[in-house]
Amino acid sequence: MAYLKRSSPTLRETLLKIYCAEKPVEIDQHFYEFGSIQYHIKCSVSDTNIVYVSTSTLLETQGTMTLKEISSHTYEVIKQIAVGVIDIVDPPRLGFQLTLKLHLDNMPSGKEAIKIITSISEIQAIILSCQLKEMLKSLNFQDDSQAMNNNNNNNNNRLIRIVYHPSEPFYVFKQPEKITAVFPMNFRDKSDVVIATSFFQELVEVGNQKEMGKAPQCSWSPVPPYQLRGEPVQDLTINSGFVSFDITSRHVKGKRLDKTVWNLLNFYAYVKYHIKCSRGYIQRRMRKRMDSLVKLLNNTSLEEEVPQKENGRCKYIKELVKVPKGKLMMKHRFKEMSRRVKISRFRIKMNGCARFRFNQRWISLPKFSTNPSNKSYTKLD
Amino acid sequence: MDPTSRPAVVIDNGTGYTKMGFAGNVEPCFILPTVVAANESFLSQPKSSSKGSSWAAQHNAGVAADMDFFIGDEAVTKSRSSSTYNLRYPIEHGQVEDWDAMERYWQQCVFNYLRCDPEDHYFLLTESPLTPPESREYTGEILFETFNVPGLYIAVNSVLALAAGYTTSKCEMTGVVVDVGDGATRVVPVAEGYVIGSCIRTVPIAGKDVTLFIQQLMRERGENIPPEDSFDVARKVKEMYCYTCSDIVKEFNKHDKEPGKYIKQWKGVKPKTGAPYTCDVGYERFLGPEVFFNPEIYSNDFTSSLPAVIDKCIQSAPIDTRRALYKNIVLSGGSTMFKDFGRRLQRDLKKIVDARVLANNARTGGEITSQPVEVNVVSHPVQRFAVWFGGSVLSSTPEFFASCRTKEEYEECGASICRTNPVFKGMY
Repeated sequence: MAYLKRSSPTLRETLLKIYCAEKPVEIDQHFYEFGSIQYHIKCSVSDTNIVYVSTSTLLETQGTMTLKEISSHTYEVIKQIAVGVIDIVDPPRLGFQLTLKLHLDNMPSGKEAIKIITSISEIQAIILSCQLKEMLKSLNFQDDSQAMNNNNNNNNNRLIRIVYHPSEPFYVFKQPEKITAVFPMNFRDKSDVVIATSFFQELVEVGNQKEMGKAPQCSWSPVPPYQLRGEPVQDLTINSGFVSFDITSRHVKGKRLDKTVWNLLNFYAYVKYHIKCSRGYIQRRMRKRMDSLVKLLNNTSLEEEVPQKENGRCKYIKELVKVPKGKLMMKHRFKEMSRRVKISRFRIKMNGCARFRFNQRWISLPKFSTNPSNKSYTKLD
Repeated sequence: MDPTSRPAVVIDNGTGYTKMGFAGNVEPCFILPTVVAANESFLSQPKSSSKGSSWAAQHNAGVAADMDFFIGDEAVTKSRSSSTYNLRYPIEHGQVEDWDAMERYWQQCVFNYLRCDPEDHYFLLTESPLTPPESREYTGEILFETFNVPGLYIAVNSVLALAAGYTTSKCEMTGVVVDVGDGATRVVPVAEGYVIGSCIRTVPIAGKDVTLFIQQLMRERGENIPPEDSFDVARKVKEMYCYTCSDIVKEFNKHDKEPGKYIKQWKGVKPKTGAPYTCDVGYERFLGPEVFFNPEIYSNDFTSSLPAVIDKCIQSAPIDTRRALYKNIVLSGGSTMFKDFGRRLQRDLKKIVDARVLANNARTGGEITSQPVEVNVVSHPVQRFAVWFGGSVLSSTPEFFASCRTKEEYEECGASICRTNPVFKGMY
């Protein structure tokens, strides 16, 4: 699913464009992802080998919504992506958390370059997951050492509140043998609530099957779990229940830690994506149904052979439905009116007035062209 | 953070290519072909077939296949490599014909390429000037119902192209937009931000026709290009080597006298065998764009050249706007990127206009002379995505958010509000 790839497609595309361009390009672009992540790329014509990439996010953990400091460990990880290519600029660009200076001439050529560019596009994923990874690792570690001491001290349960996107917090807390992540789900739209609730219940059902034993256990409840009791009320008033995932230590071992963290961080985005796709799917089915009904309605009328001389490309199409209604009506109207005018013309036959010839000289009939592609109308005198 | 504090998403859907990105940027983030490759293997299965597979399983498979589609360049490569994907072009001649494909296209644009949540940004879409209002309604319906956008503005692409020609000193909302795209060429006069609908002229020659012409020429000369690639090669040759000349005869002479200077080489690799090949690019370099000025070399059906069409269009416009229209002729669209296209257009158009003025003066015997008509063709570096650029400029003004149609209005009044979008003079 490309929506939840670790590497940002816009960043990757722009970097590739700069890298593969034969002439120097001037780029100064600002773009957003997932609502709260911002990127800025700057590459000037004078200095073609240097590209500045800045990024920031509004990650908040138990604090105010400010730009969080990035730990030095994260800096090390970022520098390790491509030694010699990436430099961290201090202080970062105004309004951003991190600015990187890329030296394009130090990049190895060929497929390696594409790999490096792809990993550079993952910087946001790295930054965000680093924080959560630390937390998960520390919780896991403490589990072993303090299990004996804190077994009866459940009141001191460390509940961590993480805000990845404003107004969408989620909670992580420890339980014996596992870590639970709870997501309160809130939607503004009523139909979203319906789709989401049914999706969660299906997810729980599927997750409880035997084949999914290795996946984290998923549960859904309309009331908050008791560990969240002390939290502010507006976080807990939701309309679509609480989804919780139980993460055991096997999910945070080694390489899986990355994936687990990324999935947790993007759960909200995933649910919203799923809901939008379901709505789109429902709309498409409704539209298809409507089309089939309309076809039946139009089937009772004529079978047309519509010559379509458009711009030198001649096509004779035998269509049942495709002639848009407007043109059909126009053709009918023209035929009707010309028929009526002809009748009325013959009716006006007064005796003695035969010499008044009621023909084209006195009543000039407007020219009705039955060619629907002739869009100009002649004036009626 | 509410949506008005974030830049709007600007998507320009054209017949050939779609340009999308965020407002406030100079160029779009992505330029993709407007094509959808969908997996349609489940669409035509009859519901009554049941050979052990239950209806539910089939339905589920159909639902899963529904999400299995690609857009843009990926779509083209996927459809070539496997046969389960059919290519669909949702936009023809500037109008959306296939709404299902268009909805899927937008879905992938927003989620997979721009990767933004549609609830967080206002949207600016474009449409061609002759679209029926129902099409705007459908667009609004799709965006508000499926994607839940907070606000939408559907702009006419010619007015946006005018905005791309703005400089700091003049911001004219009156001018003629010559939009030469991949599928259609249109000459649209705009006065004070409103399109004069009755004067719109279409020219049936567009970027695709130029490519076909070049392909034909190369084939006639006997170049050894693999046939399945010839259209692509012709297109790349067109983009890299073509230029506009001032006089065909002189150009032929120049080419014949110094072949080494003018004839370029094209190097390619045969897809099936991987063997490299080269071919010469000669007369096509200037004959390609010449199609616009002398269409009889390409097809017998259409013989008015582009400058003549522009002139006719302006002459049919209201008389008080004509001078302003001549003064501000803006080029937009990928096929106007040929070198010196603007200068040749201006020279030819001025010839026609001067001839007419002279004839008028001669008719009155020289007693009444009119002021010379100033003809000015404006070209600028962002012609390829001039419409997108205009959209980006216009949606970064503060009045943009007030002129959008919001979700609350949609819920209150229904889809018919999308039929009208107020023109706002954001640049003054």
